[in-house]
Amino acid sequence: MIEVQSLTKEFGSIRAVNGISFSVAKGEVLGFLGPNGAGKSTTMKMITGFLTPTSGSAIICGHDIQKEPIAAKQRIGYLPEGAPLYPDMTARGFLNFVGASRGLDGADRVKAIDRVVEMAQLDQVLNQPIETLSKGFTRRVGLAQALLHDPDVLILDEPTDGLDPNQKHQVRQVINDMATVKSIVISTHILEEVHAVCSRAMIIARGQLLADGTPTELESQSRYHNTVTIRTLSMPPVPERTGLGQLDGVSEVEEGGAPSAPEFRVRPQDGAVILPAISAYVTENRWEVDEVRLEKGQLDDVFRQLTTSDSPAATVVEEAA
Amino acid sequence: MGAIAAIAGREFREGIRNRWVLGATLILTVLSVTLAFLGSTPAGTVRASPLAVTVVSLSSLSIFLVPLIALFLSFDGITGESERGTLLLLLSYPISRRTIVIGKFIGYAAIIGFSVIIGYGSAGAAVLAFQGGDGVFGYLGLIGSTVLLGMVFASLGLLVSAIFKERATAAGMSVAVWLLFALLFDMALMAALAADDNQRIGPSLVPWLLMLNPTDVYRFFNLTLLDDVRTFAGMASLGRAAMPDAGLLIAAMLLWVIIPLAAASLVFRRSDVR
Repeated sequence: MIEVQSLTKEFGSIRAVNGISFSVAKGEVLGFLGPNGAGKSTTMKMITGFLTPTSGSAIICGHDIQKEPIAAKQRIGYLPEGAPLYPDMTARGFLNFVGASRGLDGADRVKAIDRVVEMAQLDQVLNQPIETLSKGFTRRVGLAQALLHDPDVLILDEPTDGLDPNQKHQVRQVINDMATVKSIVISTHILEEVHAVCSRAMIIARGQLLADGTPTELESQSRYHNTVTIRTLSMPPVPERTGLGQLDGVSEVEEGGAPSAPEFRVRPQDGAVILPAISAYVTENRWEVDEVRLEKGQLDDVFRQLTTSDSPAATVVEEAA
Repeated sequence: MGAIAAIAGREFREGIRNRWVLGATLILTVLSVTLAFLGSTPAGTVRASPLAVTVVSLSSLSIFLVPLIALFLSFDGITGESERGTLLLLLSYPISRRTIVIGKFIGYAAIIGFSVIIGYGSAGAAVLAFQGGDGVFGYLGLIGSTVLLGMVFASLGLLVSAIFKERATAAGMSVAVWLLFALLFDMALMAALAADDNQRIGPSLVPWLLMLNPTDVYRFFNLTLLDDVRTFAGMASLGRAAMPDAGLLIAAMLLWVIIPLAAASLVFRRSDVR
């Protein structure tokens, strides 16, 4: 439903987006991750037709956003960052305005408004001016306007930014409810969002695509992927602790925790599966184990690995730019 | 058409909400009623129709006030939406940028039209009711041309708004546009005429040079359209042959509406929205 080919945007001598390509199919929720200034919003604005790419194209449901903007926009629902709405209008008045702007008339508009009001649970605030609504409700009105014409493609720029945990949950619930029938792109720098709603995630930094995969696949790129953490009830003798680090596939052992409950964080080499070997080792040496944890890897660790300026990936980006 | 009506309606409602409509209507009503009664007092002595005197007074007032109101209404039509972030929302809908410009323009024109018709209409009605006399046709011409003058400056305001990305800059440029057409143009033209001393700029060329300023076109239209008004306004000495006729003056004002509006649409279409 979304096909992005070699999208590039330059502002003078600055290349904000550098040849990004990806596609999003129906039923996919793509998390578009990146630090501030990574090029997320610029990419989103090119996909939605607000910015003209320096080169490349974005095709929405078969329509090139530059060549057929009206046809493409008929298939897109968009929630801009911060959900800017008209504060003086009531939620109902605003949805009516959006319906009219989208060419919905009469009974069709009434039906569409009823549908999104139910989806976003706006009944109780429908006649309130938007400026009097909480952030959570304002964001839901923003979502409702994006959904009014039942679009195939939904593009949400930082949909939960600035919301409290309850409000985030409400907005994510709305997104999850329609995830299977639409193509959704969510731009965010909140990594928990990826676990909450995304079936796939992409990380960009300095305008370049650095990673693309399911959240699990991305987590597996973490240096902590398959790391085993053992907490014991007493401190094992030094030779046994040293032996732990010499097991096959083990890269490093970090010792921590309190003296009465020491912790050993055992990192594998290249994500190797080391849990069975460690399990056998502690059983053999009769360690008094209180807890064993296997880490899938942390997305924020992968994010840092890829996007910080001293990371190898970032260096590659700098050279390419 | 639905999208244009929706955008125009939003602008008009916004005008009502932030009291633009009320303010502009009140200002025009109070000033026009005051001018109508104070200005038409000597009408009996010079035997001019009270409405004709009112036309002369109000057209002088309009040249300064109506452009200012129209520019203040429209200068942030695009820039303001951009700064508030709502432009992204509007542009995400399947409507062209030209539709947005036209919708906003119609909204502003409706606000100006409402204010002028109520404001000047009530003054005209009051003069007719209390002092009687003819000149209704000229007075209706004044109302119509004043709305047109407002539309010209709403159109110029939208052009300023499309060109300048920051609201403060757009506000400053709007004041510059007002100064240029309300004051500086005529001063510069008079200076040029004085310096030229009838060498290159002949009397027949002057009316056409005045076409370059919409406020002059408006003034010309109102002060020369009716004999009664022309006499009272001191324009009788101008021979009819030297003056463009009313149709041409209206066409010139319409061009002053259309050209900046088309330019605003073009500039907006070519600009990136960040």
